[in-house]
Amino acid sequence: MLSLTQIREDFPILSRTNKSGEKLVYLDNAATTQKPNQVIDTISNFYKNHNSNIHRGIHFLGVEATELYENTRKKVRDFIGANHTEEIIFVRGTTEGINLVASSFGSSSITVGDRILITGMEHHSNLIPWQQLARQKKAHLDIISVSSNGEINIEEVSSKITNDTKLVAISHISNSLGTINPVEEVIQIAHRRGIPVLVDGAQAVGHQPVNVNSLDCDFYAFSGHKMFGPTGIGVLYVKEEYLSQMSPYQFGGEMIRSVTYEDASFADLPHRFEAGTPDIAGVVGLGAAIDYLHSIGLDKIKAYTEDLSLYMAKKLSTIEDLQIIGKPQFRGSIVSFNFDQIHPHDVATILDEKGIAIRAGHHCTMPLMQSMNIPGTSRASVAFYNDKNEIDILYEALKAVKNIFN
Amino acid sequence: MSDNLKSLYHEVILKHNSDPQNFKKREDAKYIIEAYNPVCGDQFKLYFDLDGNTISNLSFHGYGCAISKSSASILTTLLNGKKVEEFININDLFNNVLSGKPLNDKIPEELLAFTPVIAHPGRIKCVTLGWDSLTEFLNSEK
Ligand SMILES: Cc1ncc(COP(=O)(O)O)c(C=O)c1O
Repeated sequence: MLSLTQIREDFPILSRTNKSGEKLVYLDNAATTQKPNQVIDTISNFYKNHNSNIHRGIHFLGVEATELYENTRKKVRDFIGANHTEEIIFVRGTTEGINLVASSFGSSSITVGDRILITGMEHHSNLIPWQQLARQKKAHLDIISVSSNGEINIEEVSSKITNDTKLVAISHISNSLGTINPVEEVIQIAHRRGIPVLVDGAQAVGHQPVNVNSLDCDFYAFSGHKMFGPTGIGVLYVKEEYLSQMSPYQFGGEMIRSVTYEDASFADLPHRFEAGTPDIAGVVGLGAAIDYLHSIGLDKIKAYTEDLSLYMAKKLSTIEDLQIIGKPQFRGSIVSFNFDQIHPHDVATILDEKGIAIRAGHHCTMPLMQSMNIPGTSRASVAFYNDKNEIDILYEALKAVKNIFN
Repeated sequence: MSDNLKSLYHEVILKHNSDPQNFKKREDAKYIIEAYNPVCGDQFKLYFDLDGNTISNLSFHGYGCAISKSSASILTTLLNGKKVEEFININDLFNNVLSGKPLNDKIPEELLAFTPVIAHPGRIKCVTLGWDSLTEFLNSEK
């Protein structure tokens, strides 16, 4: 068990109220998670005491800031079980991480007639980069279908991999349906055919232990702000074997070795992928989030949040006229639902008046919504600072929503 | 239920939501325009004819939240058979109300049901969806 009282005290925002004085019930963790004091204070302390640019300062602040930045890279390496520090590239978030792979790996490894395989439940950020790359290269995008339960079929993965498939990209956990995808199996299948796999880990990291080494994925992208860290920072893991083949993604300062008017040679890995001054405070804050997660324990976090989210799915499914959208066998911390006759935005507005924060809409998965024939869903997503009492509050509020429209 | 909520989903809104007026497709309408909000996916079509300057046979169809649907429904009941200038006038009055300006007694009463939405800036676009697309169309026809 977690010590919830203690944990909630670490998150000052959880004591907020809305305009009518209703206590915040924050169930929009899939959009972004809240930040503990440990992260907030670390960032503040960085600006107060260590702020400097990195990798170029001769002065002591430059040395300290560089050390904090590079130590966090090691921390991230250990956190996700990577073998090498060079495999950790700091980016703005999952979106930028995937775009980096599409631009760099994609431009060198995808050509006319090649195929890229993704699932039908991908977030736009793991769909559009591939769609546009395919269009640009006259390659093809193949889609693994999503069942009415919100799952993919592993046989279909095998059958959709062809000799022309050059990359498989799949979300670890679906942000719209909560499905935990069988990424290990997908990776094994793809690797048997020598095809690299990118995993979009935006909804997994921080909610369960993630080990890129045991997954054996080739690319793994995630966002700091969805794992209790700051916005503006994320991580792209690239397996060493692909790293050395990839050309830089952006050009400028911090990523070069030597430059003439005619030519440039690039810095060592991973710096050649980090052009310009990075979000140094963000990186340091991300390190604090990792420390915080370790202090609670990711196994405990996983057990707690999955239990809570199952409780939520079960409880909400007892409300008349409410459908749970996506009934996967393995569910992360997310539950999507719809009322027969009530629009998700009306649901979210009524909950908002009661201090309950959820998300309504297509969740950046428009094609998935179209394939399920729904315009969107209401989505409630938990973190380890939520509890069953808050789910009960949600449940009562949803019954009130139903009453308003009856 | 908080009073706030009661007033946000005013009975006028709930009534037009469950029983929208002039809610029908008409493929042979002279004009069919789309009202689409990409943020929430609300999507209606407005069907109407223009006889000179008069809006006629105005109907709508599509999908949206209670607020956008009821507002579009009220739009059709208020403006069918009205002159374009009258639409512009009412639309201006309505936008004034929604931006929190003092009430003008010439505004049709049904529209006042939407004033509580002012407290939810994210939902104002729902109220104005149908109105904005008609305005845009009329501007482009000028
Ligand atoms: C599954 C998934 N992938 C990618 C993203 C994009 O993350 P970010 O906006 O932090 O780049 C999100 C965020 O909503 C997500 O849930």
